[in-house]
Amino acid sequence: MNSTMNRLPVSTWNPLGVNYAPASAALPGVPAGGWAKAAALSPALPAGVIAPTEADFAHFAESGMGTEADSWLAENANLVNHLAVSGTADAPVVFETKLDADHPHALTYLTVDAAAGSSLTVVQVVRGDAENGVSANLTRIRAAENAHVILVQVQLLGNQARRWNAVAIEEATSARVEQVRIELGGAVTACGTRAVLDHNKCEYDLDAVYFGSGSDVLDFNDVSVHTGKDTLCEMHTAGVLTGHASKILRGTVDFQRGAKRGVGHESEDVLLFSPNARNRTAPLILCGEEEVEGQHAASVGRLDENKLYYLRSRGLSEAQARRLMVDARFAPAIDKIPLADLQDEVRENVAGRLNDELDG
Amino acid sequence: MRAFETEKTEVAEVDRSVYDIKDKVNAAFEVNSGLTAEIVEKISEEKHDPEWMREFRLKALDTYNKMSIPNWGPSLTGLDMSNIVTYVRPNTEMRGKWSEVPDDIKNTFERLGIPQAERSSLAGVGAQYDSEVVYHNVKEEVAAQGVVYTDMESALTGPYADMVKEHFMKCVPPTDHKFAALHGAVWSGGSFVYVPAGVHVDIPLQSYFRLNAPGAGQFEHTLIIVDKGAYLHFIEGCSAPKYNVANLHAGCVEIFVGEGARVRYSTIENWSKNMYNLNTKRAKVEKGGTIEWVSGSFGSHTGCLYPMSVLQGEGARMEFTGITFAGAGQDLDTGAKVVHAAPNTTSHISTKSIARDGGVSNFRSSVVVLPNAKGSKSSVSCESLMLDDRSRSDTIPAMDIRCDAVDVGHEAKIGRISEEAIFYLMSRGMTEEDARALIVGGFAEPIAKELPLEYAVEMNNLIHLEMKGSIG
Repeated sequence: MNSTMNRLPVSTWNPLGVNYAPASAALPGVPAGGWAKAAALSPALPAGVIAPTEADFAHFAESGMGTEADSWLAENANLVNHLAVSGTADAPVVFETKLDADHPHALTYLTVDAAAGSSLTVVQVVRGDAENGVSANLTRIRAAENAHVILVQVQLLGNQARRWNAVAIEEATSARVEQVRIELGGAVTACGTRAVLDHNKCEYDLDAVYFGSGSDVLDFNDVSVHTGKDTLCEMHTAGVLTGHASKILRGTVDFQRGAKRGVGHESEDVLLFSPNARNRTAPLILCGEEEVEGQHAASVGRLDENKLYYLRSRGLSEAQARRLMVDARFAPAIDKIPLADLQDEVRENVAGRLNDELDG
Repeated sequence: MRAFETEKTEVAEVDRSVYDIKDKVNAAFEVNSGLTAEIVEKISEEKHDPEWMREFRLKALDTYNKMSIPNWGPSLTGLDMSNIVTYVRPNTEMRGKWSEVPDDIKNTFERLGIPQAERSSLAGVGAQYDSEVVYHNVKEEVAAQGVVYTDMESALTGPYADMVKEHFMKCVPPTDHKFAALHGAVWSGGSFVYVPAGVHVDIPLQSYFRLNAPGAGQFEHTLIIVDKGAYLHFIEGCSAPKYNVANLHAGCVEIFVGEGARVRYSTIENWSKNMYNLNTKRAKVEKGGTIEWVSGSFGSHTGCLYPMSVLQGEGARMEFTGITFAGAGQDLDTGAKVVHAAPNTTSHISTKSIARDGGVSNFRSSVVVLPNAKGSKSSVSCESLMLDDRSRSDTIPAMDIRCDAVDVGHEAKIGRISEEAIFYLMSRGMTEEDARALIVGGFAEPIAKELPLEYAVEMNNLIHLEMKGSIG
């Protein structure tokens, strides 16, 4: 199934290996005994948010991982949640799952139905580790007129588990969906978000960070499809690669005909801390409309030697200086986590990983 | 005055009259359309190939038959190889004097200004008509420096035969892609250039390719070897009259840039709009060498053109400067590829693309940095301008970085002509038409200044011509 997963919206040279997910990131086989029960805490629901037992998302846009992956994720989910919000939720809804030897599988399917003018923050946290552990997630967000949904995803898995994370977004007029995606662990991490901006003045923002080490495989496919007028997307990713980690990031801003005055900005900043890490980036801007503004910028390499020299001249050790530079890159995403404890946990996780690389 | 928001840019067709004059087809010999082992054998026999080349062609045909049409890029469904005539020999031998070239062919090149350019600003000229070179000449003082500039067929059997055999399709092997394999099987014509070590060829050499026969293919092979510390500027021009059947151009350019040598390769592609231009260009650059590509793509129905540079020597450099202008019925997929295969190598890709009147102008690039290329730097910058909402312009870059001690940057921008800029220029007394032409000219200017002067002037004229009457 990997050849239909995380597909680049427009293919390019096959030898580059960026047209779809590598075989090593293919969805897992179902264990002989089926999926184990997931370990999850039931979230508290703030006023204005309900958890209906059913939700109609049958004919929903595909995620960045593609329709086949979406179907698989929905069918195999061992933890299904539906949220519906009206009005302004005064606290985030927090879903926490943890993998361990007794609960090695967490396959979650979440739908979020945000009514007109509503506002909601959803936090999804996955922790722990297990041999052959699987953390898979499909999240579908429907944001009605003027709705504002913030989706914060924090993945703090160990290095045995594998991770798949698909997000599909549909937005009505003047809706706004912000996604924060922090993927710090997992031997395999495959993520794909697709936002359909087919109504006027809607907006999609993504702040993403990743950390790949050892022989991790990371595969991302983020797509913003603009057909409405005056739409906006901001997709910004920062990452660190060490060891023999291999990462592919596909980022696409797709301005379709009629998307007048659409604006799309995407960027990626990759820090390479190892001569053996491999970084592949395919940032696409597709344009069938004249009255748009699209921009992409990418920067790949080691830390800037001049900046490093400056910081060392101010008394910082090289390791401290490197940590500071990584913190600066990760801050825009981490600062958006609405829970102070979780922010601290993420910062500690990043620091721990950096310590392993820089000191160990 | 109408509101700017409601204005549409309607761009007129390019005046191609000089390119579209058709000669009566008067071939001395042509093969049947299609592609079979018999046809390939016949081409080889007609061209008096050495045995190794005959075998090479048949092996390439075998590779062609085994390979698929690329599953990416523009649609090639309008190209039916069974309708393409792969070899058309004009009714003349190759000449060393213009006066000896038959009048009809000579007049075609006269109209294109080739002899005049040769007299005024070139060190040598090669002119190919359909499948064969009809004229080749190099100035005496350049030849006296040991520079060899001749047609490929002569090179294949002449004093440089071993050099040709050693380098032919080593840079672009037939297994590279289906149309490289096709080229290997049916190639004909093209130029061979050798610049000895330390020789600086002060004024450019130029090859001009003209495809006159309808439904034909042109598969010229250009092999350029520039030895240590030498310099060469090579200009390639191409055009064809328009027919209502598909023509195919699947040429191949191989450039070997020696240690500390520098090569500038400039192309103005102005094929007719029934042409499938599936050309392959590649350079291998040794230590301290430099390859500079300057590429202007204006013609063709469908184009796939991505000059590639393999920086295999330490400190090797490449620069690619390109502009693509796609109009009605055109699908031009252009860009560049680079492989950093040695330490401290540098690449810079800078492109502009303009789409108008329903045309498709896509930018595609590939930057690969191999593990041993420590200290390498690469920057890619592409800007696209859409002149109406019936056109399309996609930007499809990719980077594969396998080394940490690198500095790789990429920037892409897409947009439209700023209404504020037009308003400002109009407030200074310009018509809207002139304001738009000025802005498009300014957009293309960084590329134009890299072109040889006469081409830069032609390109500017072309842009002004395109923008005339552009406000509907």
